[in-house]
Amino acid sequence: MSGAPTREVAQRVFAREFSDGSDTFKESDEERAPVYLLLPTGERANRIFFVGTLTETEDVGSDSEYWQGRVVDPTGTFYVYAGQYQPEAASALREIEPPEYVAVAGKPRTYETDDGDTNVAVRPESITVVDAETRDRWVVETAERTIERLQAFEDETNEYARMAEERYDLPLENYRREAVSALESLEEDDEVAESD
Amino acid sequence: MTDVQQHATEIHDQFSDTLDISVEEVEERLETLVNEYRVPAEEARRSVTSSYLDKADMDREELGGDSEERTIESIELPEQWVDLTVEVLQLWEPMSESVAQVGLLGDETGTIKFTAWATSDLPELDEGGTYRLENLVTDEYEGRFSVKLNRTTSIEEIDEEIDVPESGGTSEEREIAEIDTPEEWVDLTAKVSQLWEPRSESIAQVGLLGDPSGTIKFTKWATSDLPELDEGGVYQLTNLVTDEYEGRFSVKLNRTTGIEELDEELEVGDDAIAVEGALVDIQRGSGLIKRCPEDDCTRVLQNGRCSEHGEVEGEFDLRVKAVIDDGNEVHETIFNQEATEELTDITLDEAKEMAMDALDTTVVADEIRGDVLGSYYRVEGPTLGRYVLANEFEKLGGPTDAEETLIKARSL
Repeated sequence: MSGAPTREVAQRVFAREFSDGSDTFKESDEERAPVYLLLPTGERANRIFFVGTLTETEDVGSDSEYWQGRVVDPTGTFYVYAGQYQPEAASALREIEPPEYVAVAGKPRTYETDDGDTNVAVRPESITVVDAETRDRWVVETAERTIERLQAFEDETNEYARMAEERYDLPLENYRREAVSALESLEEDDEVAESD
Repeated sequence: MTDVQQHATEIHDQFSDTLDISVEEVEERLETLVNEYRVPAEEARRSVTSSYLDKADMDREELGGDSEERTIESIELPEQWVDLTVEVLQLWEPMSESVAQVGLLGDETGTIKFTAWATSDLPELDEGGTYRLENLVTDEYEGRFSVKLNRTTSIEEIDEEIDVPESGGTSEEREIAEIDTPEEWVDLTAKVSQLWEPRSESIAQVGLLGDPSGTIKFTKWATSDLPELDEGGVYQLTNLVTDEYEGRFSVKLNRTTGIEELDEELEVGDDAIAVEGALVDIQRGSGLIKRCPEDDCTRVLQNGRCSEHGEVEGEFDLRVKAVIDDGNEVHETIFNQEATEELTDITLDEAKEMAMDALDTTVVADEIRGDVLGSYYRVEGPTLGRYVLANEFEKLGGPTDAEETLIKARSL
């Protein structure tokens, strides 16, 4: 292995699966070791990349600005939060007028709700406006990656799948179905476009 | 007989001694899973088997009652119990602590990968040894079969020569760039373009082979007892086995490998690679930068200083260091001035003007970020250290493989 720390891959995950995640872990005891969200389909995510429709932005901060954005994909909603420590993402949320297609690279962060549930949101590294083609490409790519994870789930050496089995025990079939309907939604768009 | 009926009969047979169940009952449970809940047949079988195991209070391994004597060639289904008489052709380095041994077995009909789990607590197999192995379980991954040893496996060393076919199946003449599947037997005509220091005593030689299509890593095991390869030499190599680790392919020489030195020159292709994915980050040092003007020094200045020549009057340049990520792999890419101008539609002169107006050079990188982050690109060029130099690139539009992915998703 080379000396430079390798950059963590940005996992592709639909909102539905992402929001089913709640379990985070580190792979080492070092203080600055990366934190991973365990995805229910059996992968670790220190970073994710997604493209969806920014439908709403709101400054939910009390003392200083703290921006919340809702980004919707064919399966659900990603919640994105950016404050003073993410100045570029915060100013993007301040300036973009929804609705717009946006691409977001960011880190999963879990937090506890008042009811004691664990929710997961995204701390963005970047938010940029993109076109519809980019959004469609992301949907197909994310379906592909989701399928790859599902296919690898039963491998006995797939440690994150075993971990997901143990900690979540969620029906994987849901994620396959979400991938199918996400892809079908693209086809429907095409049909609508053609009939115009 | 349908798949489901076949599975039902087999499951019924496995439990007929311990549980009072009928084939119809098993079939109905499978049908429900497969037809109503759209569970794949194999998965449905697993799930039904698991529930019967629970009911019978048995471990999965106890099912391995009726293993059958088989030849390697005849293995064509996963999750079957088999007995084999084999020679251990190669032992590989296990990549996980849960694996005790991994390698290649051969008999008169062919070769197959095997895995022995650390938890199974089995005696070690020796490379070159011949064994009678009973109660192995077959497995399949992406169409390739393997066998797994488990706690119930019996291992008996036998004093018998096995005539493993020369090729261990059929090896094919290939170009290096065509290698895209692990565990295939291939022949290469290649030049040893680099030899590296082996990191382990079990490795005799390790380095890089090249042909006009590209380069690939090779490993030669100490136990294989092969002649030395010379750096710069061109060889006809037969019976190599391909391997893959984290998406990168390599070839392994083994005892059956033929090495013939050729008296010819071979051009080695550059390692131009093409990467595709979302542009997820623009790294520091992108945008409008200043370089050291000293002869042959093009170092990028930090706060007006060159790390070699100290404070100098820098020359402006434009570049982008971009991270391309497809969700499986990350590649760092560098766009030089010309490529950056094409990527961003900002010329060096315009960039200088922007910086002058804002009294700040970082505005250029900010502008570039807004333009390119989050879009998909294909970048092609040679690799330099950890970077891919963007000789050619294009912005990618809408998806082209939606239909194919949908078919795959539906059939899962």
